[in-house]
This record gives sequence, C-alpha cells and structure tokens, in this order.
Amino acid sequence: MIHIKNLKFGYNRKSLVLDGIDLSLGAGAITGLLGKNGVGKTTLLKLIAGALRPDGGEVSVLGHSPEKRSVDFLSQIYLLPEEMPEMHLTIDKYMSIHAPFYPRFSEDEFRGFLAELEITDTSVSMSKLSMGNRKKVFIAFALATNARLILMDEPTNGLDIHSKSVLRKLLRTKADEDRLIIISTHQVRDLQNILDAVVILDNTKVLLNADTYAITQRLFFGIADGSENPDDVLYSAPSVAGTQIVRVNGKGEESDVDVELLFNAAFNAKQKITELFNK
Amino acid sequence: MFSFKRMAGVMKRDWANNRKTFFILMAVLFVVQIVFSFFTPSVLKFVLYIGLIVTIGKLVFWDYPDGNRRLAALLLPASNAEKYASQWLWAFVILPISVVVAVAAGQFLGYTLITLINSSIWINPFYFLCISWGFVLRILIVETVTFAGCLLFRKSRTLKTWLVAVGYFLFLFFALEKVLSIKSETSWQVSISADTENYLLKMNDEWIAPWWSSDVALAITGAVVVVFLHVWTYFRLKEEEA
Repeated sequence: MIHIKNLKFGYNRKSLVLDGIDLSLGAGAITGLLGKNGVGKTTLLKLIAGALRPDGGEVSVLGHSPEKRSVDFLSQIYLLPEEMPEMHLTIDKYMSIHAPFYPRFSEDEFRGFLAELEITDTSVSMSKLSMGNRKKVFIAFALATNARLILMDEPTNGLDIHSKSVLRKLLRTKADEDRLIIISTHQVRDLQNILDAVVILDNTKVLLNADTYAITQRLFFGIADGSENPDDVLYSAPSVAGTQIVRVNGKGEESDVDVELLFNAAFNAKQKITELFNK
Repeated sequence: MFSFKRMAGVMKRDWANNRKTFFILMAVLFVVQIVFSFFTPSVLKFVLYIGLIVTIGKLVFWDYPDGNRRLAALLLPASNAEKYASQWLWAFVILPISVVVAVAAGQFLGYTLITLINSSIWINPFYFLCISWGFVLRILIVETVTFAGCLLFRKSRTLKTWLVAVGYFLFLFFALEKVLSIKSETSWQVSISADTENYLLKMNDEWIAPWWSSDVALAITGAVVVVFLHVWTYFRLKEEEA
C-alpha cells in the first residue's frame, strides 16, 4: 500500500528532517509510528498524504503519487491532524458538506461512533465544542469515511480515559485486510495493545520497521529473573513488579510487546536492534 | 476529470464557513455607502473601498492562512482545478455582484434620503448603476490582486494585500493613465473621480482627457495583470503545501 524509497525532505535547504527513508507498509494492519519529538513523524504523515512534497526519492501510496493530490487518491485517504481546525458548523452540517467527498462514507457508522464516544447532540456548533470533543467528531468522521488509508497524528491527545478505550475498540473494528491505519503517537501506552506493527524513526532514518510477530520472535519482554545473559539485555527499567527488561529472544519464548520498552530499547541499543531486524 | 458537482461541494463548504462574515461585510458596505451619499466623494472614499474589498477578499482562500485549515483544504478530495474554480467564482462572480448590489442599494437609499430631506435637490437614485461597470472593473482588478495575495501571504494577509492593492492602484492611476492621457497634468484627477458625479460634471465643463482613457488603461493593464495573476494563483494553489 505504501512504498517509500530514499525519501528526502527538509523545511529548508540546510537541514533535512527525513533523509533516505525506505519504508514499505501493507494493508491489514494498525501501525504505530514512533519517534522522539521533532524527528519527523508528522512530516512523514503529511508526505504520505500529499500535503507536502518530497525533496527527493519516491513515494507511492495506493498506486498514486501523493503530491499530485488526485481526487481518486484523496478520497481513499484521511489524515486526522493532531490539532483540529475550528469550524463554525454544526456536526450535522459538517457531515452533510464533507461526506459527499468520500464515496464509502457511512452516516450510520458516523452516528454510531459519535454515540460511542458520547457525542449525542449533533446539532451543536463545532466551534462550541471542547478540543477533546471536537477531536472525537473528527475521529468518528475519519473512521466513517471508510478510507483505505487512515493517518492519525496523536489521536489520543485530549481524550479522556473512557474515550481512549472506545477509540481502541473502534480502531480494532475498522482494521481489516483492505485498510491500513497509521498512528503517530507519543502515548504508546494508550494504543500498544492494538498495534500490529511498529515503525520507529530516528535522526532522519527508519530505525525499526517490524510487525509485532517479528518483534516477539526476536525480542523478549518481561521481568528479569537473574538468568539473562547481560549481553542480550537491550534495555532494563525498574518497576513495582521487578526489573523490566527487553532482551534478545534466543529460545523462542512467548511474550507481549511492550511498546514503551521497545522504544527505549531501540534507542538504547540501536546497533543491536538494526542487526536483529535486518537479518 | 473536472466535476461541477465536486466544485459545487467545495463552494458549499466555503459558503457554510463564511456566510456570517459575508453578511456582516455586506451590511457594512451598505451602511458605508449610505453615509457616503451625503458627502463629496474623495480619494479617501477610494481607499476605504479598497480596504473593504480587500477585507471581503478575506473570504477568498479563507482556509490557507491557518495551518490546520490549510491541511484540511489541501486534502479535501477535490481536484486543484475544482478548488481553484470554486475560489474563482467566489472572488470574481459572487463577491463583485454582491458588492455592487450592496453599494447600489446603499446609494439608492442614501440619495433617496437626500431628496426626501431637501426637496430642492434631486439626485437620480439609480445614478450608481449608470457607471457601475467601471466600478465593477475596478473591483475585479482589486479582487485579482486580493485573490493572489490571499494565497501568497500567510500572516497579516489582509494588510499586506491591502498595501499591494493600494500600490497597484496608485501605479495604475499615477503612472499609466498619465502616459495615456492627452492632457497629462490633470488626467489622474479625472480617473480618481471616475465613478463619481465630478467625472460627468468635468466632462461637461471641460474636455480634460479622452473619456475612455482611464477605463482603457484599466482594461489593458488590468487584463495583463489579471491573466498573469490568475495563472500564477492556480499554480500556487497546485503547489501549495501544508
């Protein structure tokens, strides 16, 4: 679905935010896009959506060149930005105006998602909604477009605990084999249980791009029991239950991916991570 | 493939977001015109008109100064040509017609009030409509500058566009008309008052310059600038980034 080759992009000529990005992502997954502040996550999402033009390299999304912003392409993608634009429209009006642009939009789903997110009055002006509630409207709209590619930038920012839980459920509901959902987030704990794959950006490059199965095949996440080979431990952190570790999974042990630990391990042992996942 | 249905959808979106500002501005224009009916028109009137027109121009490409709204506009599933056409219709059809209607209505009411207050004075309340085509021409030129300016300037776009528009007008009146006029010393005065009563009075009193000079100058230079700016605006929109 997404093929990126040697992508280069900078907001000025002197420094590149992304330099030599190679990335291939297929449909049927919820992919977490992670990285430190200012590493280029939002920039990459905008490049994929066609809102920015690459300075070099190739970007192909759904068989289209995003920068051309063809109607066919734009009607198959939806980018949910981190900050919502203020609209002086009621929710109903917003839907009636914007829905016709998305051929697979479902009004029933939209209203259903809104209800689940506890937005019941759709005759209220969106300019009167709080930031969190406005975000819920856009999240519901994004999912109801049934776009094949949904890009979300920090979707859980500003959401209450219940709404985060509903969002996880909705995202899992909408994830199917024809759709790719990419979520850029710092709040990894909010979404880690629903991620099928993880991409970590670091210093203009892709540090890690792997699905959760491949990650658990190569890495073990758990509590240290003292029997670990210190050379295999990529990261450790104290916790109430003991010392949490990420280590090389040499024996094929089963564990669940802890995305926060993975993120820290990736930055703590870049060389090792690169070697493990480029085998 | 260009779709009129999608273009109408883009226009509908813009209208829904701008109608409040639109009606407020038209009301302001209407009231200002009533007030102006009681005073002798001056350069100040022109400057105020340009200010109003450029402010109205805020409605054009209204999404683009704001990062989040610009992103939403760029990724709206409509082609660049449809988005451009929608904005073009706003800037060059709907807004000018609305401005003319608001100004004509204001002047009609103003002149009617003058006649009612002082029965010895009679001004044809439809006077504005007789010369409105020249006014419309000027609006279209200013709107063209505004059209490009609204897409070019991100911050303080109204002020910047206003300055460009004033600069353009001054250039047009002081430089080009002066060259085209037969009697150059006074011709610019005629041009500035071209859509006022003074124009007709002066024409009757004294043959200062060819009657067509100011409008031909406007039309010729306007056409060149308008075409250039339209092409430029389209490509600017096409290459716009979030």
